[in-house]
Amino acid sequence: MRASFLLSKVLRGLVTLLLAVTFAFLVLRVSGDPVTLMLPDDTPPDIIERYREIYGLDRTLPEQYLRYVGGLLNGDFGYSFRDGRPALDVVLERVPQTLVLGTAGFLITSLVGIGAGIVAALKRGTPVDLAAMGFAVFGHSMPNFFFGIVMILLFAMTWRVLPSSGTGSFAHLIMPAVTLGIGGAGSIARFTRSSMLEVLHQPFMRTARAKGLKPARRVILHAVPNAAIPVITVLGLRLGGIVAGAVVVETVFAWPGVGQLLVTAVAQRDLAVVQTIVLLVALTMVLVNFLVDVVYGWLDPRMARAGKETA
Amino acid sequence: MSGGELVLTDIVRLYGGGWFGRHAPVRAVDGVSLRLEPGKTLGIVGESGSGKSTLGRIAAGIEVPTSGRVLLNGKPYAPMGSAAWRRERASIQVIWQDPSRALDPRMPIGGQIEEAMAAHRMLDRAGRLARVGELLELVGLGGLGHRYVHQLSGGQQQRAVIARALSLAPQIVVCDEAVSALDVSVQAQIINLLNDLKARFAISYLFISHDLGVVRHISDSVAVMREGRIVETGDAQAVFSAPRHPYTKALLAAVPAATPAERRAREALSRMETA
Repeated sequence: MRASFLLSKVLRGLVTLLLAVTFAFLVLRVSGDPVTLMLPDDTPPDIIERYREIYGLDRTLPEQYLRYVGGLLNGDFGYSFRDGRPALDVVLERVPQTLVLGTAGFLITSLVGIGAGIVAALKRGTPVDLAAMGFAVFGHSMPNFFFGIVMILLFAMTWRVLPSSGTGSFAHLIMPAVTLGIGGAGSIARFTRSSMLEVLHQPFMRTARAKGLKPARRVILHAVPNAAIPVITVLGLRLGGIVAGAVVVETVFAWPGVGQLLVTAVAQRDLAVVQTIVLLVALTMVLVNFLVDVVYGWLDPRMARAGKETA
Repeated sequence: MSGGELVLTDIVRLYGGGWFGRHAPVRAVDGVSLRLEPGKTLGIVGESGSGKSTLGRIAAGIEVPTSGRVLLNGKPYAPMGSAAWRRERASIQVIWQDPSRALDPRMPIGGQIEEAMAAHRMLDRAGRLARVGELLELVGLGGLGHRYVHQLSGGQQQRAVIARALSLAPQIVVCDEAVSALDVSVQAQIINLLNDLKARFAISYLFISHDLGVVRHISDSVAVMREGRIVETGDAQAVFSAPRHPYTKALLAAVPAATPAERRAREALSRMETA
């Protein structure tokens, strides 16, 4: 039963990857010619034609597609038009930086968001609740490019306590991570709060109180795990977006990650690089979704059982 | 375990009233005095909205009355939420209407029973686990402690709730519509179980229900509630066979007759009364 559950997940994941690659492939080919964009305006037509041949862009679309997918299956992700290196290398060397920033932002999103949501639900209707939800709306509605620039103005220009851009130390990480994390924290806080309120009003919470459990135990053992289920869904989506999600923030803070690479690669029609990033993003999404399914089973015994019965 | 005595005096519970008293507050419970004797079952009947559930929560100490006194074995409850109040929970337990929602869906039922005992530092872990096994056996769920709520039938769920309530060796159990969510054959099983347990452990029940048949079957004495007040009280058999208050008579008349013969007899009676 467990094996067939896994198999169906893997198959579904592969289909998702293929669709993502195909979509990126088509959109990029249809939306402009990379060669004319790459070369100066006054390049003679015969030279343009030579370059098109080198990159295989003179062939028909189906043929290009089959060659590309065939290459992927052999581990060949194509070459970057810009510097001629393998696209996979170009992308992978950016991944560690993006993961550092993405993980830091995700931790801020989860810890601040869930914490604020739980406290707001427990203190419903009090000034604490009001403050937490005010913060949530602020974080949710503040565009992160604006928030990032305001942070730079305050912490880097006015008070000169943090570096404005770049990477290299923990101090460099603070502002981009906070900017990245705070927007997500707002929506997570609201989700957590409403989910917690719903659970807190369940009769089994009344039971827990009537049987004399301490408040901390009621909240940590009975309320939070039951309230976590919808929150995990949203957190999973955010975790899946870690690789691609920081496009704006990486640009604002000149953080040398995948997001920044994606912006330049799209602008320059660096087909192989864009496709590799899309594939990487789709892969993380698939993996995270799988992870979320596993966590569901652990959080909710009803779902674990349903999964086993149908699979 | 021996039954406890619960005395309620002049209980009033108001709800709402709006800001600055724009609306008159609802008098959910309006001057009720009751005495639950050790080892006895006191039935509370009344239509929905008559304040019987509010009274039950006040009696169990999980809601504070606007005014009036609740004495458990001669002592008032500690302030709600305090450590002393939590310790008192062991002596008075509640069984609610919907068993499927009264248990945490994420924790096996055995764990939830054990947890209650752990919260009151009863026995050591091995002793508690053995006790969980005994309790489940007692309510007819032997060996099902590892199950989750959704893996039990409605009747089994309510048995699990009862085992959980009993695990703390309470003197008093408040049953608030404890069998209303179950179908009739299961109701009978649960009521017989409650009666067995009462005889065995000398528990006192405050049995709240809108179902007169059930209350009649289980109660030693009965109080009839209407709009927050008690309109009639007395020995269960006496109240049911010779109701004095018109509201009690109306309630009894509303119970569907068990046989056509009984229905015809009732109709004849009401024709005589109106004639």
